[in-house]
Amino acid sequence: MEEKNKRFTKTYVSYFILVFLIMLVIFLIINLVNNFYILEKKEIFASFIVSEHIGFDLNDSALTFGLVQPGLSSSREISIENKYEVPVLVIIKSKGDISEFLIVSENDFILKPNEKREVSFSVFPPKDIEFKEYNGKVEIILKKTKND
Amino acid sequence: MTKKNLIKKKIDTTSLIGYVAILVIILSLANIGIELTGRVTDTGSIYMEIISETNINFSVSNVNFGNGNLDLGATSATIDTLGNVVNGNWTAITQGFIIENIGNNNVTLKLASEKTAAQFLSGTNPVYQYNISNSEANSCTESEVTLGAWTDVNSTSPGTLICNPLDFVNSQNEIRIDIKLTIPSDSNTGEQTDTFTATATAV
Repeated sequence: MEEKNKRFTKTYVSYFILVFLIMLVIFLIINLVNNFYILEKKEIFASFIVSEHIGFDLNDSALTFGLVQPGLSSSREISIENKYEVPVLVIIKSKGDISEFLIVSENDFILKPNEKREVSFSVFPPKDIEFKEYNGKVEIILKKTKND
Repeated sequence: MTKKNLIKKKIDTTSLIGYVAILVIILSLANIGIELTGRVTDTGSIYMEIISETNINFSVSNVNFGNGNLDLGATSATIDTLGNVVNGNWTAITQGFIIENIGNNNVTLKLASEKTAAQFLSGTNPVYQYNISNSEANSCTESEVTLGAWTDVNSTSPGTLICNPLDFVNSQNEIRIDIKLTIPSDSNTGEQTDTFTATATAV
């Protein structure tokens, strides 16, 4: 009886491991297919400070929105130009605690070769936001369109 | 070989786990490879530039003149953020807007309101003006407006060039914007709000 129980447990564990590995394979294949289309990724630091004052910080290597009052807004733009010979799909993502206050004017758009577009980023801190610095990263991902 | 053994041999779980594990390793390496090297079959690159210009909005309702009425018989009342109240019972306030340049570049600064005096206050001969002054000495080099003088708001985007430039040096990078309203007796009633947009461009 004990031998039978042991065998049952062993089989159960084996199946569990197998199911886990199969799920991992599926995840890796999806990731691989997604990554296969990625041409380039760029990360830009982004920040704003909630303050009673209004302030500018025109850093040209980061999306710094300066000092913003609660309930109001600040915006900056990034110019993106496609220097590839093929159309690219531009996907914009954000990370960090700035994410929930950051809005981008357009996302998931296609840029033709040599086409240039200015994308606007705005932060909208709500009226009840805590007075402190909020930061994170904006990730700009370029993907080859699936038709190419 | 019995039928049971044949099935067991065909579906040997341990071997299957081994094969799937090998597949996981191969796929993981492929993922890492693509992540590290990227695809090299397409030539080109992306050109990206963070534009050295920013817009910040602020609202006149934030100044919070609060509730108030014109004095009996007065045709208009004047209030400002320098503490003056004429012909009315508003509470005097002495707080304008402070704008700082906290970056590492001098900037030009333009200021635009969303509404004109007529749109904001309505009535007969309303006045809606701002007054730019240095909160820290030598911060703003005046341009299209005179520092310390009242100027009518400009609702045409991107507005009036008020500082050319606004300095970035720590002890001289701060200006103050005061607001003045002349409210006619036949003006809008209730809470009135307007939004200013300050546009800074690196120089």
